[in-house]
Amino acid sequence: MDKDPAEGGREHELATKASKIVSDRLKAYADRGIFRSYNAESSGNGKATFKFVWLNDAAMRLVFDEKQKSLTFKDLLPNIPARSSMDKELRAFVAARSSEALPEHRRSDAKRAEVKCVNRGGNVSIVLKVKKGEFAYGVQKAVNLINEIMLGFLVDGPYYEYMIENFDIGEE
Amino acid sequence: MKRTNGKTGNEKETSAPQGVSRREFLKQSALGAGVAAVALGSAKTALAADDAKGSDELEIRIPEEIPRTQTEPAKPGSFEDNGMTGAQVFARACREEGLAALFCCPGNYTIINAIAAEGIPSFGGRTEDAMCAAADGFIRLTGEIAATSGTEGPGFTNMIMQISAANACRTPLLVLASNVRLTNEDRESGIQMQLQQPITSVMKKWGKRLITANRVHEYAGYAFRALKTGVPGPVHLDFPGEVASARFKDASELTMYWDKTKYRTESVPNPAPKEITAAVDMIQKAERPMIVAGSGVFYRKAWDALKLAAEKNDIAVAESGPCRGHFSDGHRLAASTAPNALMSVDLVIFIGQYSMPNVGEYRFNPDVKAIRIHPEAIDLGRNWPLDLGIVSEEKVALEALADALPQRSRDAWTAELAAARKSFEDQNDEYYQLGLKHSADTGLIHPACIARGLSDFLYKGDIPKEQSTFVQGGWTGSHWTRRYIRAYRPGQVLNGPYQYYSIGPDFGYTFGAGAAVQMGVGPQAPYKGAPVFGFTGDAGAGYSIMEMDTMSKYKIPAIMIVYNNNAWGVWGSGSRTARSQHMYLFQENIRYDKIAEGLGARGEYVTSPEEFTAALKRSYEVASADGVSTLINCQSKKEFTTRQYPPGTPRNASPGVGAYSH
Repeated sequence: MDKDPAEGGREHELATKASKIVSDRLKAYADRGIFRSYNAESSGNGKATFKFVWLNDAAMRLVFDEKQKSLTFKDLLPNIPARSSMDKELRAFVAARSSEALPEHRRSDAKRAEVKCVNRGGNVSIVLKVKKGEFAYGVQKAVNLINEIMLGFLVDGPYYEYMIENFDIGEE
Repeated sequence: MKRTNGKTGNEKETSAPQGVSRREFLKQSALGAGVAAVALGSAKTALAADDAKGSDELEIRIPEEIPRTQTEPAKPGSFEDNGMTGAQVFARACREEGLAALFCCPGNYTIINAIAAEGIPSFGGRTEDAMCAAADGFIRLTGEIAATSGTEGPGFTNMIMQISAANACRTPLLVLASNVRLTNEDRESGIQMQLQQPITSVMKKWGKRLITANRVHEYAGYAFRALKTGVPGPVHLDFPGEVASARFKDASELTMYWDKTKYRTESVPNPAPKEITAAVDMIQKAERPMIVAGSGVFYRKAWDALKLAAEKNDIAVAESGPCRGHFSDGHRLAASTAPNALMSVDLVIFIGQYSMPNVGEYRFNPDVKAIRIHPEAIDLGRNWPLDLGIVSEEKVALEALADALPQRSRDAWTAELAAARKSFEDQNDEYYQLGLKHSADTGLIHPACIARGLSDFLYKGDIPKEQSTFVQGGWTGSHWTRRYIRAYRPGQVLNGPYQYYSIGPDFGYTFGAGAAVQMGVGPQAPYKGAPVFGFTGDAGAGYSIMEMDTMSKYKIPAIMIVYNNNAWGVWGSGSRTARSQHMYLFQENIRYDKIAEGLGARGEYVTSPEEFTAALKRSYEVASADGVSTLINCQSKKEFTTRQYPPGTPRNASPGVGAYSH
C-alpha cells in the first residue's frame, strides 16, 4: 500500500518544525553569549550541523539528524581508548544523569530523551535521542549534559592531565 | 630578650645534647668521624680561631631598640618650629585618612620615617616584595588601607610582582617609593634612576610621580579618593627628593590644603528603584537563586546586609574573591562548600565580584540567568552575559534588596544545598582516609592529612572556630587546604594566590595578617592577640621565608606550615618532556624548620599526621604564651599529586572554597 502523501507532508512539516526548534534553541545560547563563533549549516539530507566555541575554548560540532531525532556532539572527547577505565567511567556518568537519585531539574528523563556515548577510534561522541518529539527539551538536556561532563566529570575526576593534553589548558 | 632555639620534640632531630654548645658538639663530631686530614686541618684551624674568641655561640636576640623605638611617643610634624617637610605633610594626611599601617624596607627614608613618627604603626622587613604582600594581606583581612614602601630603583622593582598581585585582587594598597631628585633626571647621576609610573601603568588604579612639592597634600587627596571610592585598587606615588624634603612654613604655601571632608565624599551610587523591582521579580521567579558574594561585600562591610537579604528569601550564598568569611560557612544557606549544587542554580546574583569569570569558569549551567551589581557601569556585561545589570555600591544594594524582597522559604532548595554540603564533606572524609593510607604506606605526610589536621585543630578542638585567621598559600597544598579550611566570620581566611597567583609571598601575607590580629584592626578586633596561621609550599618558602625574622623581632605569633614535596607544584609538566624534569625539582628533605630556627623562630619537622597534630599543639601553646612563631616543615612527596596515589590533586569547583581565579 502506498504511503499517504499527506502523511509524508505532515512528517516533513514536523521535521522542519523540529529543525527550527533545534536551531532556535541553539541560537539562543549563541545570542546570550554562551556559545561563541556560532555557525549553523544544513546539509539538505535532513541533517544540520551547528559549530561553536564553548567550554575550555573548545570548538564543538553538534549534528541534528531529523530522521533519527538525534542530537550528537560529534567527537567531543578525543583520545579515550574504547573500554579503558575512563571510557567506562564516562559511560557510567552519562547513564547516571537519568538516575532518579538526581533532582528533577538535573535529571534527563529517560522517557523523554535517551543518552549514550559512542566511541569510534578513541573519539567519543555524546548522542541524545529525542522521544515524543520534545526537541526543545532534547536541546536543553544535551547542552546541559555536555556542561556537566566538561565542568563536572572531567574536573572532579582524575582527568586533569587528560584536559591539559587534549584541551590545551594550563597546568595551573 | 633571651631566646633559645625551639625544641622540636622530634626523635629524628640531631641536636646537641643538653649543656653542650653546638660548636663543641660539631667539633667533637668532626674529629670522631675521621675527617680527611686536609679538611680536618682546616676545620681545626677554624674552630681554634673561634675558640680564641672565648665565647660560646651567640644567641639570637631582639635588640632593645626594636620594642623601644616601636613604642616611643609619636612626634608628628608641625608648622610650628621649622615648618613641615613634604614628607611630614603627606604623613599627616595619611594619619587623618586613617592609614592603618605601613610595611616597608628601608629606602624612601624621609617618607617612611615621617609616617612612623606620625604614630602610624610601621613595620620594617627583609624584602620589599614580602612587605608589599604583608600590606596586601593586612588590607584583605581588615578592609582598612595600608601602605607599602621601597626605595627608588631596585626597591621599587622588587615590589612589582606583589603590586601586580594586589591589582588583580583589587586591593586598595598605597604603594610608596622614593625617586631620584628631579635635577638629576636622565643623567644616571648617582644611582637607581627608574621611571616608575610607566611600569605600574598596567597594575594600579591610579598613580602619580610628584614633581611639584607644594602639591603634596593635593596629591594625597587624589590618592585617598582613589583608594576609598569605587572599585578598589593599588595607588602608586613616587617622591623625588625635592618633594619629600621641601619645607613649608605654613599651610598657605601648599595648594588645595583642605581636610578630607572637602576633598572627598562618602556618597556612593545607589540602585535605581525600578532596577531593584526588576531584580526582585527575577529572584521571585527563580527556584534556586544564588548570590555570589565577592570581596566588594567585605570592603563595603556589607556582610550583615548580605545575611539579611539571603535569609529573607532563602537565597544561597557562595563566596568568591581573595578573602573569605563575609558569609559564614556554617550558615544553612552557605554554598561555598556545596559544589554539587552549583549546576542547579537558575539565577545567579554577582555582587562585589570584581574579577569576573568567563562562561565556564564558574560551574553554573548554561541556562542560568544572571544579575550583576557593581559600582561602575563600564564593567557590567564584561565576560559574563547579563540579564540585568545594576550600578550600585554593594551595601546599599543589599540593603535595598533585603528591604524589597518578600519573606520566602525554599525548602527544596535549602535541602539540596544541605545535601550538597554533606556530599562534599563525605568526599573530604574519603580523601582523608586515603591520605592516611598513603601516609602510612610511605612514611611521609599526605596533604589531605595536613589539611584535615589543621581543620580539626582550628574548628573542632578547644579554639573557638571563629578565632583563627588563616592565610592559605602555595599551589599544590592549597588545593587541599581549600577543601578543609573554613571561614565563619569576616576576614577569617585569605586566599593568598588569587587571579595573578604569585607563588611565594605567603610569609609576607601571614606577617600582615599577624599584625592585623595583634593590633585588633577592623573585623580582627574580637580576636586581638591571637596567633595566626599561614600555609605555603616549599616553592613558596624560597621567596619569603626570611620574614620569619620579621615575625620574630616584632613578636607577631604565627604558625607557618610548609608543605614540602621537594618540587614545584607543576613538576608534572617537566615529566612529560625530555631533559626537563630537573628544572622542576629541589633537593629532597630540605630543612626549612632549621632556617626558621636560625631566624629566631621555632622549627618543627614532621612526617606523619600524628606528629603534625602534636606539632600544631606545641606551636600554638608557645605562640599564645610567648608570642613565638613556628615553622612546621611537613615532609611529603611530589608523587602524591599523581594517580599513583588517588585522588591525585583535587581540582575544586568555583565559586566557593576551591576558587583561586575569581
